[in-house]
Parts: sequence; C-alpha cells; structure tokens
Amino acid sequence: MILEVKDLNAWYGKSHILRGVSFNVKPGEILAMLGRNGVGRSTTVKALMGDVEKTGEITFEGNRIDNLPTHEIARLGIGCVPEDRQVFPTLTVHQNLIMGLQSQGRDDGWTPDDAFQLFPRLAERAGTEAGSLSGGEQQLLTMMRTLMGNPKLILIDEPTEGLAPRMVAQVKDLILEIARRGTSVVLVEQKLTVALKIANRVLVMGHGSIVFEGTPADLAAREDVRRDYIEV
Amino acid sequence: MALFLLFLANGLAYGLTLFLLSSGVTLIFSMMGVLNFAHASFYMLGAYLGFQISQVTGFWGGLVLAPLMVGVIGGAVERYGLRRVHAHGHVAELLYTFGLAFLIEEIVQLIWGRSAVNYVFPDLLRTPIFAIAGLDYPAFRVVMAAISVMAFLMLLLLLLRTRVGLVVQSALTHARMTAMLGHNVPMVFMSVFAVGSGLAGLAGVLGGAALVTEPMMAQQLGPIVFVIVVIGGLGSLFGAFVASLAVGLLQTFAVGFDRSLGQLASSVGLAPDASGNFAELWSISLSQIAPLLPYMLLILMLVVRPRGIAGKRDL
Ligand SMILES: Nc1ncnc2c1ncn2[C@@H]1O[C@H](COP(=O)(O)OP(=O)(O)O)[C@@H](O)[C@H]1O
Ligand SMILES: [Mg+2]
Repeated sequence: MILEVKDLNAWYGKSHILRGVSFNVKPGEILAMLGRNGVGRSTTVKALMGDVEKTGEITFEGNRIDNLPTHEIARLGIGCVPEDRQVFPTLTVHQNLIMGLQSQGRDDGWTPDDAFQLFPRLAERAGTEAGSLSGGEQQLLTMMRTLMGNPKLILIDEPTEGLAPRMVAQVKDLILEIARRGTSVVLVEQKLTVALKIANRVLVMGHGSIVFEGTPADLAAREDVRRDYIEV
Repeated sequence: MALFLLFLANGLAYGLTLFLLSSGVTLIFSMMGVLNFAHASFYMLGAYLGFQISQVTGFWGGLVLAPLMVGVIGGAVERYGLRRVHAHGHVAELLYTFGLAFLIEEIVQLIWGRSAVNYVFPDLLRTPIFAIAGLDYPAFRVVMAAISVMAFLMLLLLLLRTRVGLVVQSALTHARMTAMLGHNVPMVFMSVFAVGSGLAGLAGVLGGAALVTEPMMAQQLGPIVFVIVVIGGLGSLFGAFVASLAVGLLQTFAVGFDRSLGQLASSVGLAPDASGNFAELWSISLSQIAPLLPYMLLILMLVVRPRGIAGKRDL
C-alpha cells in the first residue's frame, strides 16, 4: 500500500464532516472516489493534504503524515490538484509550471517540455498570463504543474467539471498517462462514464463515510448502491 | 525654475522614503489581509537602533545593521506573535498590531527617553552639493533617494525575476495551493514580514537622521503611510509607489511654495475680499495646510475611486 487511511474524521469549525473514513491506495492504481455533492470527497482530499482540522491515521509509504504541515506532505511525494483549479492567474503559463518543480524531483520525471509536447496549446501560450486561459486549459495546466513535482501519488478533485467533451477526453487521457508513468491516482469524479472507464478500483462515499468499495464491474452490478449514493 | 527643481528633488527624495514604508505595509497587507498598524513603529525602531549603533560604529554601521536588526525583530513578531493570533481572525490581528505599536512606543521611551535624541547624518553627507536660490541641497538627500531607489529595484528584481519571487507572489494570493506544491508558505510569510520591517527600519535610519528621532515619530508618520496605501490601492506595490511620490511631492511643494489661500485665489482670477467675513480663511497659508493634504487626497480618492490608483477591488 502506498497510502493507508484509518478512521479519518474532519471538521469545519463545529460541523463534523468526515466520520471515520478508512481506505487504502495501491501503488500504480487509479482509485476513483464517487458520491453525490457535499458528501465529503473534497474534504477527504484536503484532509490528506493537511488542510483541514482532523483526527485519524494517515500513513504514506510507511510513514505517518497526519501531523505534517501541507508543504511537507507535498515534498514527501503527494501532489494535489484541488477542485477549484487554482492556477496563479497573474503568472505566465511557464511560470506556473516552474512553481511546481521541486528540488528533490526525479531525473526521469515530468518537465515543462513534457507539458508543452503533450499540450501544444500550453506551449503556444507559455508566455501569457495563466488567468487568460480557458477553463479546460487551466485544468490541464494545474495538473501539469502538480506533475512537475513528480509526485508518487496524485489527488485530482473533479478535473472534468464544466469542461467540453473534447477537453474531458484530454483530461482522461492525461490521467491514464500519469498512471502509466507509475504515479498512483486518487480521482474524485462526478462523471460515472469517465470514472468507470479508467479506474482500477472505486470508492463510493455517503454522508461522511465510505459506503462501497470494489471494482468498476462490482459497482456496475450493484444497482442499489448506484441508486442510493450516486445517481440523482 | 531652479527653485522648482529643488522642490522636485526634495519631494522625490521624501516620496521615495515614504515608499520604503508603504511597500512593506502593502506586502504585509497582501499576506495577512489587514493593515499592520505597527509598521511605523518599525520605522521608529530603525531610527533609534541606527542612532544607538552609530554611537559605536559611526553612521554607516547603523545604516547597515539597524535595518537588519529591525528585520529580525519583525520576523520574530510574525513567527511568535502574529502567526498564532492569525488563527483568531482579522480583528484579533488588527488589535495585535495596535498593541504592538503602543508597546514599541513605550519601550522606546523607557530606553531613550521622551525627548529627541541627537541623530544626524555625518558631516560628509551634510555638506551641500549645490545651492539654489540661496537654499542648500545637502548630499544626504541624494543618498536617501539613491538608497530608496536601490532597495526598490532590488525588491522588484527579487519579486519579478527569481523563483523565490514567484513563490512569494503565489503565496500572497494563493497560500494553500502554493503549500500544496511543496513550498514552505509559513516561512515565506515570516520572510515577507521580516523584509517589510527591515525596509521600514531602513526608512527609519534615513528619516530619523534627516528629520528628527523622537518617540512621536511613529505616530506622526503612521497615518500618512496608511493614506498612501489606500490611495495607491490596497495590496498594489505599483500603486503604493505612485502614491508615495504623489504625497511626497504634494507636501514638499505645499511647504515650499508658501502662499496664502487668498494669493492662490487671486492667481486663478478670483478676487477674495481679504478684509471681509472670510479674512481668516484667506490668510491660511499652504504650508499650514500641507499636513492636511494627504488626508484630503484620501477622502477625495475614496469618493471618486474607492479602489485607489491600482487596487483590484473597492474598499
Ligand atoms: N470551507 C468550508 N466550511 C464549512 N463547511 C464546508 C466547507 N467546505 C465544505 N463544507 C461542507 O462540508 C461538506 C462536504 O463538502 P465537500 O467535501 O466539499 O463535498 P464534496 O466534495 O463531496 O462535494 C458539505 O456539506 C459542505 O457544505
Ligand atoms: Mg468537491
């Protein structure tokens, strides 16, 4: 296991959001996290990154990380692409990518050139302010920026939200490529078609806890879970 | 004309020194989201520490060491004070910086007394390099302007041309995302606070030696710095720069071209009745109004353009 999460509880002020979330991530897998809006998927991502008040045990590559500040968690090799696509709008596309580089990155890892080769559109706009990119381009940029740090595990929160179908396909292909290069992926995704097609395993969250765990095929067979916890 | 150039030079030197202060307030505002009311106190600390060190090492030692010491003090204030207070919200932060300003003032009075200390530039810098219309232009004004410009250019190069600068820019606006990319944001914040305080300390050494070093100097300058930051637009370094020069020039010219309001009115074609009901009003002189000008500018700006010169949002 690359990541083990045990009995995670999280709060915003007094509201108790996560109530005993436990799951594992295996090396190299794409784990999809499904569930309706507001059940706590983003909060789970934030909790893993040390960005919300929480209790519980989080172990990454055998080391406890639940007491570390966010930047140290990132330096250990967990990358995060949050749901609100935070490009640095006044920095250029290239500068955004540079912001993701980490000194302890691997030699064989991702580089800005990879980003430009994979997405010529980003190369064209390398010198322009990232805030002027379209939503889809910003999404690709945010993902590439996080990849510059060569994380061993990447958490990607709703990357296809609000994107046109062509962009959704690009994001999907990029996630497959990330996994192919050996990085484990936790993917929070609303679109069942995308999630079921690329995930190796699926978690379904109900109100602040995990209500289903299995393969995409298992989930396909469980109409009750889909009806109660996913479909609207 | 020569006189005009002299005032221009004086105004720019004063404006640039003001910018040393307002740049720090601006950076710290971007970071914390509140105005640091203790900032002018770091200016005062710079003056007093500069004075104290200059007793041992001469002026130049104070010029180098005092800003560094104020920077360290500023860093410690962030690390061990503000960072904890921050968790309790903006009001707590604001009160903290208020308290700090009073604390520093009391400490300064305790150590150096209530009256001004004798802190002046060395003779070398006080010699006039030229004289216009019977007014000397001392060398230290040139040195002040040069040091301020250098500090500003270094800050700008650091912010715009280095990776550290990128991290600072990002941390100021997107702290959480920046941390998620592995950057030590708390450390960045402490450094920004330290650098901002150090610049205020530098301004203090220059301002203290040029004007007067006394316990009221923080209280006197503080409001003007806030006026500048608001006129420039909260959080905008460029705006703070423009506003600093504007206020510096405005005040210098008002004091320099000392005319009464009556004379001014006449010169634009009005004919005030110097013995009528408003005689007192017309006899007020520009230099008497000079201290008010920044506040008048502030009020005008808030009415006409609440976001300031280069601010991104209205107040
Ligand atoms: N910053 C916040 N402050 C207070 N409550 C929040 C905050 N963010 C999310 N919540 C609440 O926490 C719950 C879980 O939110 P979230 O983790 O974003 O859900 P999801 O990502 O599954 O849609 C929701 O009820 C939401 O309203
Ligand atoms: Mg969410």
